Amino acid sequence: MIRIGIVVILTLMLSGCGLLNKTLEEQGISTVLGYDLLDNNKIKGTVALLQFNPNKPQTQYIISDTGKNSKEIRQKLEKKTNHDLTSGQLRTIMFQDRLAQERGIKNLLDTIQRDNTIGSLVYVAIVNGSVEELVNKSEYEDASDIGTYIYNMFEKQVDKEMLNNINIHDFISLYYEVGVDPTLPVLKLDKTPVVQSVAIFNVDKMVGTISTQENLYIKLSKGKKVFGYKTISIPVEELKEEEISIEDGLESIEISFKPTYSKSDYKIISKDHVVFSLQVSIEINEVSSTIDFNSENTKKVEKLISKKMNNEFKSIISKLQEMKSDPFGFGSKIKSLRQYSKLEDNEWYDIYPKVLIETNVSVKIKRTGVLN
Amino acid sequence: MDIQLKVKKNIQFRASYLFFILASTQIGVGIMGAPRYIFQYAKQDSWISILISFLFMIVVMFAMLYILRSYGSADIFGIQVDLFGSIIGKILGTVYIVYFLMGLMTVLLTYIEAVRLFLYPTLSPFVIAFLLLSLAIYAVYGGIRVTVGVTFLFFLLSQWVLLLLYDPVSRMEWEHFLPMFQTPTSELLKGAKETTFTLSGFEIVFLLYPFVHNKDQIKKPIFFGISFAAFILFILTIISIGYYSLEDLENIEWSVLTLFKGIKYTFIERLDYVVVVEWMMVIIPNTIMLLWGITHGIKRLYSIPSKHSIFFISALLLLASSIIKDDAHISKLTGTVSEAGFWIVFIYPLVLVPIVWLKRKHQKQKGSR
Repeated sequence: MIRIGIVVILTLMLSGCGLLNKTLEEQGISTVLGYDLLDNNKIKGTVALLQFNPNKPQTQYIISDTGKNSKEIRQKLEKKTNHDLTSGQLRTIMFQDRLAQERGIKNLLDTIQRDNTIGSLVYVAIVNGSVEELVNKSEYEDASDIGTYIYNMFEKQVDKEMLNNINIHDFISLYYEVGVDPTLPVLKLDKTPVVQSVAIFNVDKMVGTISTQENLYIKLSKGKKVFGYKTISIPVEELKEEEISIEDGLESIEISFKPTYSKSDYKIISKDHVVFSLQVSIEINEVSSTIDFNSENTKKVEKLISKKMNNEFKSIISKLQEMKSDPFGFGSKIKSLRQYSKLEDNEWYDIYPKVLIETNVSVKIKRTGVLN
Repeated sequence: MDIQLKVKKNIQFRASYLFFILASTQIGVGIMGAPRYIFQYAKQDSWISILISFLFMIVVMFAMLYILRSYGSADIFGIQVDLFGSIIGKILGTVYIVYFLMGLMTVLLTYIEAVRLFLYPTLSPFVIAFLLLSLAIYAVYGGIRVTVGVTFLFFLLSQWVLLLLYDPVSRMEWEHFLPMFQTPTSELLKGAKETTFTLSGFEIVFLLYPFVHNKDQIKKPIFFGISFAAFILFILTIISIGYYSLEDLENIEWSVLTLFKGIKYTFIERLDYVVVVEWMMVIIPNTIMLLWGITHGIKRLYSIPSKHSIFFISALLLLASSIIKDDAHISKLTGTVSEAGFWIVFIYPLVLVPIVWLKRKHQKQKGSR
């Protein structure tokens, strides 16, 4: 009897632990957080909140205010809503491109990473233009709000298409790692947010962009499984040189393919000479003219595609070297060798533009679809 | 005070339970942040540090078994009194008890800190400490067999958390371990020393030995218990190094808990919250075992019944948990306990061995004369 009494009393006491009565209606659940850099050097923060009243037509409302850092902005935002601002459902954090170029985004991300209510799976993106405008004016198809829309789109892009992993954990850990730089997608408002290109960083400052097609090489080098489609065009002369017969009257043929497997290999000859070879297995999906893919022709086409991709790859690397950004992580590969294990970021960025990087892409056609 | 502790058959337990006791008292709060501390010194070769301390632990384990076996059925309190006389022996015994008390304090404070950081920032530490301690008192009141039983059950109940590690494992970068064998030996040893706070806990064997039913089969469960704890620390450190970039790991306080931040299912968004709560299952065996050890020690040394001392000790702990709230104070206390643990748990048994050996030799000579 006494025991039962103790249990009952303890259970009653447990209800006193409900210190945080979080009623859904009282929460201002933020799904998107965006930062713009203003001309007076202040930062403007924008938050999209979910709205739960079923009688109102809109499912979200957006508030924004300016401040010197993220917490000051947050305090000001709290004054503009009768809800508690919570960030447990935060999906995407966006930065205006100018902010990323001039200020760098590490400091703003740092407070977010410190906050325990925010998970590691929050996506980070750069916006070409004003974030506030994008959040306010964008349409979002059938998604419930802009945050969910962008999140779903990124999730799809990362899993099935050309984007690299872009969540906050990936960004921060690449930021800290010596000899690798992070990349982030760039969004532009065109009715809906559209992935326009990929932002390239030097440590935490954005230094330029590359196209998503070019970003494919970064993704291939990381050996991730699913990739988007790639189309390359091969001039007729080159085909003729290889004695592949095609229809007359064409200048070039377009070949679309999908990489299915990739393996990268770094051979570090010295601190300023790296040989980077990439083996890619592809699946041919579309050819603008009929080519007979017999075993002989397949070899030749493989050779042509390899050459084409190799040239592209080289030009991307020299472009990145000019921008002093190393998303491929050559620096970290060099650092993993014993004699260079003391390599630091500053030193690496000094020598990186001068490093001789030889590339060697070899393509293998695994399948040509159901057609031959 | 009797040197030998005669324990009735009906309150003894089988040696195999020692596996569960050791595995769960060794894995406690320390492990939540351990990889970072080891990494501070040993960098990408941290795993070697853990292997070093594992080997060292085995040596210490043999030393402990040698000491215990020379006496038959005594615990550390009795042995110290026999070796150093009543007064010094009792002082040394008190040092043990104070060490256990400090250890229990860090366990509670660190866990409360984690709960407040991850779940309820406004919840008073007193409430959490009170709830945890009432459970512990209830279990210790049941006697040694209940204590061991609860430890066993909670060990089984908390192992599923390891399965969640599949996610950080899939995001690991193996390059973080390159180049290998770079850290100088002195730094490796410093890293190994950092593991002591996490891996201490097996000194409880010094107290439990008389309660073991089949003492001749004690070696295997102890060995496997120690290996299990070291293995868990080993894989968690490997995963942490692979998952975080190297400079990142130095900055993350709760590196092991943060590992679980990246997992998400459609029905549950944040598993790190669940893990913090589930960690209570890891904390409770710790709390119970240590609380039992403290009250048992007081009973042995000063003949104060456990039923009285347990409330005094708990009140002391409650008081401490409401006073010590700052991060800095907790880490200072943890630092002190870990330093003391290194000397008491890892070095002291090795010092005792020659003394016990001399004493035995001396007794034999006396006997033959």
